Amino acid sequence: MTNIDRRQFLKNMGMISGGVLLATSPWFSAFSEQKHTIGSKARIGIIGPGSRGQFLMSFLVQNPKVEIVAVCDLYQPAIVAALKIAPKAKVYTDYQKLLDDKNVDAVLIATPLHLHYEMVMDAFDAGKHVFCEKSIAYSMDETHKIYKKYKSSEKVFFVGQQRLFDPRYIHAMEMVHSGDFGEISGIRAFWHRNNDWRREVPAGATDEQINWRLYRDFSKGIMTELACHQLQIGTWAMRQIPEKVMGHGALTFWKEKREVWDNVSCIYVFENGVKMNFDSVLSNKFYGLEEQILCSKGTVEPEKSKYYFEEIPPAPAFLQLMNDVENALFGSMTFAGTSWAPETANVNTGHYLLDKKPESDGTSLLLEAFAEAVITQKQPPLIAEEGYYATQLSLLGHQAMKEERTLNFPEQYKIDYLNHKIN
Amino acid sequence: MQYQQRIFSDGLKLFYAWFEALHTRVDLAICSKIDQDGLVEFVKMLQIEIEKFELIGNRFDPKSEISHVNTNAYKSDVVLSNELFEILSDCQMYNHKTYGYFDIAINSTNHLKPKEEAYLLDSQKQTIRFSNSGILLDLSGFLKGYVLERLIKIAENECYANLLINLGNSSIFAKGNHPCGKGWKIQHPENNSDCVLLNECLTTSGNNGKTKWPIVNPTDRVAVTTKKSVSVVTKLPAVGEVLSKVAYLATENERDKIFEIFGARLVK
Repeated sequence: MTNIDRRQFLKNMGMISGGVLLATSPWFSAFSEQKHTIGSKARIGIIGPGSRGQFLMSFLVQNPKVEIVAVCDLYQPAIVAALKIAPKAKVYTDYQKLLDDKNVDAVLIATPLHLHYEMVMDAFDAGKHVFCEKSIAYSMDETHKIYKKYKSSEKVFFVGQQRLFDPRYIHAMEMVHSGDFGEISGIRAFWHRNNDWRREVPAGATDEQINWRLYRDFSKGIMTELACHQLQIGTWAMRQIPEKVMGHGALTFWKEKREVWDNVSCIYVFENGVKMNFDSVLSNKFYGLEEQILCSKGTVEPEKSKYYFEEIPPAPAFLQLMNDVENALFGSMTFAGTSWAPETANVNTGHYLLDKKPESDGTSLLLEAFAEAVITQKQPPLIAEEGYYATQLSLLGHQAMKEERTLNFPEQYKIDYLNHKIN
Repeated sequence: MQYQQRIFSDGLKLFYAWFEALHTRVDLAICSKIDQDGLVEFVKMLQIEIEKFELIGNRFDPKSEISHVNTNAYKSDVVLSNELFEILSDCQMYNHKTYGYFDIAINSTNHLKPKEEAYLLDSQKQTIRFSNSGILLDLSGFLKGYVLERLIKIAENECYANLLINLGNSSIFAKGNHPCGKGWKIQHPENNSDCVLLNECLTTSGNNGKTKWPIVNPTDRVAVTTKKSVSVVTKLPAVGEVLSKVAYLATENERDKIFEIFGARLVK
């Protein structure tokens, strides 16, 4: 996103006019000093410039306030690809050496999940600001330790939950929080694919290196790779953390050379009884992905960028009337006819959340916000906490499925946030 | 209720509210300088009025007053509310004035003899008694117009001069003026010509092929299958409901005579 695009985006979302944006998405305060940070640079080191890391780098190099000063990976092809994006970056094969580099202000960690904990902890110890790809860590205990470390570090901590910066989701949350759709009755999140999630293993690499997501020692599969994005939408919409979770996971279709489940279903229960379902099957893609926020007066589908009112939609002729009057036209209204009845009404096709399709899914803005925060050394509110609970809920769901029983959110992992407020 | 408001440069506000009631949709466009909260309150007042008559006149609701009448009025006299007594008195009067083409007892299972009244009203006791078993009173073809009249009265009492009220697309009352012209221009559904309404009601009846309850001709009790609609313009919406059926069923000669009595015009 260019600076002009970003300004327009922020203006559209009410940021510049001091509108409701900050109430729904307080992390946008990261941009509050963007004029003062012109000319400054966040010097970032990339730990793990694999496919995801390179994708993130492609946004970072477009930002004049960012300089990618270092890259680190054991896998040589990843380094070669990363240098094509950031040719001046210093190359490391030992991340500790990168952390010792005084020219690095912040690190972006995009390594396999099981490596996050040690790297994030070491990065904070080295005095670096941290952007960690989701999920934060492999276990709830590690995730909690990382959060505590961040809190004591006075450094910036971002998690790769890009939906927090996605215009569709932001507008959806504004509408949900304003009460336009009434009370939330349920959330149905699903992410279905029809592929084995397997990447080709080049000569010289191991399957564990390339397809680490499929091995249980390195990943919790669907939960840590997909669910954590969608569970965060639930807590954002509800402004609550669920109390408990139950579910079932299984390997049903892609059985070869795979240890993680390809078919999961979890039910998260909030204090008021509202449920958030998460389902994923990797052998059918018909319904794709969506987070359906079901409210008493309407439904929101942010991924499709649509919302639907339970009640009847406005009559097109009356909307035309409003436009005619705006243009000083005495137009004719076309709606007279035999009686309108619900059974003869058109199917509810809903309305679009935004006038036009957004150009970004939030990733570029998320990274720009990180750069701003690194420069100002100010942590935007709530962004770390949203990432924290997204990870913890995905891990708790995985644990519930593994144990095949209902698990309450463990007291020891609660932090001072939303309904987990600690006095 | 859902609503939108636009404010124009001269302070004029165009308020649009819509909701579902009477088993159909209701749309209101109001031109006024009153603030949005005041307009919302006004529309809520109209909603309450509609709900009141829905409870009285919806024969599909077993708890409605008309359902109580349909169940009990053959066995004994049934005391009526002021509102239902007035509605049924009006319907009887319209039945007489339209040579029986307008008939709220058309869906009765026990056919009446010619000129036989389906129900007898006692104005002293404010009661009704059916003349025969199997009588079923159905206000579906009248209630919208009657309710629309009540809404217009409320609007007048509240000093709203310019508004458009649509009950289900088939009953449209235009009061006062469009912000940019005299009256309100509504396109006629059959021939797409414009019809300007000024303190008048446009009522449409007919068969669009989707209607669950087609119009039945009281003279031969046969459902009309011709796919067409007719629209009439009247001063009173209830009269519009009555005459739109007449225009659909009566011969041309009869229709012209009836229309003359009511000062109505057929939209051609």
